[in-house]
Amino acid sequence: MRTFMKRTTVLAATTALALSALVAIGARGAGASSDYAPKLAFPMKITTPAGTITLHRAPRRIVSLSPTATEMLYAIGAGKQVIAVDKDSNFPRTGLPTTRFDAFMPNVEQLIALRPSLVVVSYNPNNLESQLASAGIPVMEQDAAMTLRDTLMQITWLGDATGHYPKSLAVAMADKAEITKDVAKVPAHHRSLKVYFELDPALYSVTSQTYVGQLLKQLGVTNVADAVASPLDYGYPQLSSEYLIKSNPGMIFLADTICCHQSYKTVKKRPGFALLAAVKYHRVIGLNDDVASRWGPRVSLLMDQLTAAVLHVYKG
Amino acid sequence: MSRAVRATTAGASSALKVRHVVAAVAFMVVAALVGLSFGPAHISIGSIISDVAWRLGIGGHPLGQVDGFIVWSLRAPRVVLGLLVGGTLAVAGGAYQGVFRNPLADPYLLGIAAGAGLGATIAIVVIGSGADAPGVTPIFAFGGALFAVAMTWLVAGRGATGPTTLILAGIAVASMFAAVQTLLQQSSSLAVTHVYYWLLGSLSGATWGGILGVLPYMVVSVVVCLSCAKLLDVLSVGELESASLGLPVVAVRTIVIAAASLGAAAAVSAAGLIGFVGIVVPHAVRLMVGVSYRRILVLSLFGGAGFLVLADLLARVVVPGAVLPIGVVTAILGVPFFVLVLHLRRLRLR
Amino acid sequence: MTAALEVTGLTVRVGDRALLDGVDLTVEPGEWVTVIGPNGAGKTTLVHSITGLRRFDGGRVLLSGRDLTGLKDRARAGLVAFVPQTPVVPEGMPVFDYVLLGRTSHRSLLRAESPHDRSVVGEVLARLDLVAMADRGVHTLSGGERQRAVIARALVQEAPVLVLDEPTTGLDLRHQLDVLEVVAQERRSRRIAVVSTLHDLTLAGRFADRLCLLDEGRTVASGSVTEVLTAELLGAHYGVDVTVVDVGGTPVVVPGPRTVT
Repeated sequence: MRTFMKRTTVLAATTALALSALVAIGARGAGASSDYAPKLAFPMKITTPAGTITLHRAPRRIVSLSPTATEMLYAIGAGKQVIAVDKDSNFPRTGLPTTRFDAFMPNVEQLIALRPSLVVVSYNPNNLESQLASAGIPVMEQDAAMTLRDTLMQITWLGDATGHYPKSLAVAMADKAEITKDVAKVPAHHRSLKVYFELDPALYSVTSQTYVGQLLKQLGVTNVADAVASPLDYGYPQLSSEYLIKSNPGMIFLADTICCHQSYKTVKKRPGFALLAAVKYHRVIGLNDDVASRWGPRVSLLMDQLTAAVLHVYKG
Repeated sequence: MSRAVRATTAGASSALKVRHVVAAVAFMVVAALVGLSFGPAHISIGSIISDVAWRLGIGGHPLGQVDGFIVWSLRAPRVVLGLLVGGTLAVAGGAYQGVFRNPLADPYLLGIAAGAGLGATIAIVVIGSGADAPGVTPIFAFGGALFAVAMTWLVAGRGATGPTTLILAGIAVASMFAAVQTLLQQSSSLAVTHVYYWLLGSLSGATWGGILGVLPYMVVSVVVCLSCAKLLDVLSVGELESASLGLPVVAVRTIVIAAASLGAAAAVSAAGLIGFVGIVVPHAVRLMVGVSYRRILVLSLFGGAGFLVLADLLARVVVPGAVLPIGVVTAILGVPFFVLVLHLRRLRLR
Repeated sequence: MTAALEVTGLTVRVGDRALLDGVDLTVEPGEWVTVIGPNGAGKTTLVHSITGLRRFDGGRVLLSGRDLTGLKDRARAGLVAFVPQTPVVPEGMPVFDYVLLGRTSHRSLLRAESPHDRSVVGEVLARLDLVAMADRGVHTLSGGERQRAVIARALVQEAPVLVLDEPTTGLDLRHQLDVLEVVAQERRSRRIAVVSTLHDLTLAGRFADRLCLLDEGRTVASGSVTEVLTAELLGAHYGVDVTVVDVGGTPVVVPGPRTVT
């Protein structure tokens, strides 16, 4: 018995040491999270651009009112601590709790009655955050990411806050590495490909200032939305079909395949679109709406899809 | 004086009857209690009463921390805001109906809805996420609403040309503001969503501080409208005749419209656009107690307060995890009622 | 004694057209003057001007010696009461309340009616035989009863001048006489000065003390009934051949030339 205990203790100690070493290395690791010093132990105070949140112990009852935050929480291993999510949370496909809230019009009373120990939001309707704060419930606001760095930071903040920092760091690093790998595949010299990224059949697109736009930019393509953007668009201009046809993009990405049932076939049917190079050469790529519009751990998957499509043209 | 005459003077019918007021107040109080006692979190009425007793120092024991928070920091401000907004909108609607001598008049007639919408849009689009801070969007909405009414007033020649001109001017101003709002909204889909939900109306953001912010305007509005109720009765014989009876028509119209608009603007800024309360409640009261505004306005105050609280209760419990936009609930309750009112009217006129 | 109503040189212009051009009219307390004239002569304009319901461009109107122009609405309502041609009928308002509206000028705007107000209304209702309908809605009254109610409302104003615009509109003969008899009685018992416009020339002659014939905005004749109701004057201004017949002291105007029997 004593030997068993001794062995277990040694094992535990070694693991802890190794983990700490890993964390120490990882914390000083390259890139995004090098400027975030994780607290690791509770009670902790985490400061993000949205504010400071105090957690007395690892939260066991988490409510996520953001589909992206839900993806992050499950990816970093905090899924078992999540007791409720919002109605649009749909990934991972299994294992989500049945209690759902409307992220835009949440029933605050019901939310508070659940006695959550952490609520993650990306939208603050009707003073939700101050009401939760008055009830003594910590709220973590994670707005839509502007850059890839935001995504990586959000993943690690959530990891620290939920007691899964090492795993979150690993997830973030893996995403970053995958994206770096994708970018590296782009050949040094290439004729720039003109790309149209569609958010909506009413021809809403994204400029290079946006999250997705930045990913595209790293692939060296020309985003046709950039030329017609104005400050009033806030990064999401609506293109006219006339302009689009004239600019003749060589590739079209569709981020409205699920909401609005768009595909190569529907795009080809639009008046004048059959003339586009992208349509003629069958370079209309359908993306999953959620993957293309969220800023969670699946961003690397998105980048993989974008890169694969683009490389086809550059190399093929 | 002959006996017959004495009998008639005793039965002068436009005076406010005490029993009506008692009934209306009772309705409001019951609605408030129901609103406080029910919700998605099951907290028994007995424990709430016990908590109240404890707070008053007469025994009982307090609710748990979370339950106490839910009842006093979530439900209570919601119920109070619902009473204030419902009462103010009903009185404002009734007052508008009196001034315009039009049963279809509602508090948003002179561009208040469009003005508040534009104000909120400006806050949300221009300030961005800073507009989420408590009190920011409401102030813009309030300012926008008053600005719209002022513009309507000016466009209609300062109201001296009569109610029809005012209504037409209101339509023109509202259209223009709505167009500008749409233009601004195009900038971002999140802005569109945000503004849309704000406009749908909600009591969810009720805080004691927010209530104190709008309370003075609502009080002023209601007090002035109620004081002018007798004058609205005189106005019911038309502008020409009421002038001949000695009523300063333009002054009365200006004051009543200003007061009603102030209240409606405050209500919209606190709770978004909640429709039907301003039309349906005064009508219901009119059906029950007659056409005198002396009765209609006072009874609408309490009736509207209770009605909105009950509508909000429905909004809170019908869909799990969400709160129905309260404008939807008042419409769902209001439309069948309206149909009933029209039907009864047709029967009566036949 | 001051005239109850004194109108001098009343002029109302619209564009470059004169609806009224220098009209004079004086009515003593207890006197009944009826204004007659063809359509468009300016009768309604005159009536609206002297009651302060319409602005005029020239001349002066004195009510019991006070200048109409300077008067506030309330003060004016205490000096002149108006019975419109087609009164607005507020649906559902009881007759008592409707007549009570006439007391608006007698109390400050924000105060409720006093017992005195109520007793004045009760008395007038009794005099005009409306007590039985006091609790009924105004819209349920017959034409004649409704006209009596409007007059009752004007009477409770207790103003020294009563102006009626075509008070017999839409009434059958019996009710026309009813209404005019009521006014006649009131002016006798209370020495109210009455100004009315009337289409029916015979009735005008029967009830008025003096007549004023208006044509194209001008007073073309003013005087006793027999002085004004002459075939020449009426023929000239109405453009119709008429015969004026004397029946028991009352002139009766018969359209058409005298036929020899």
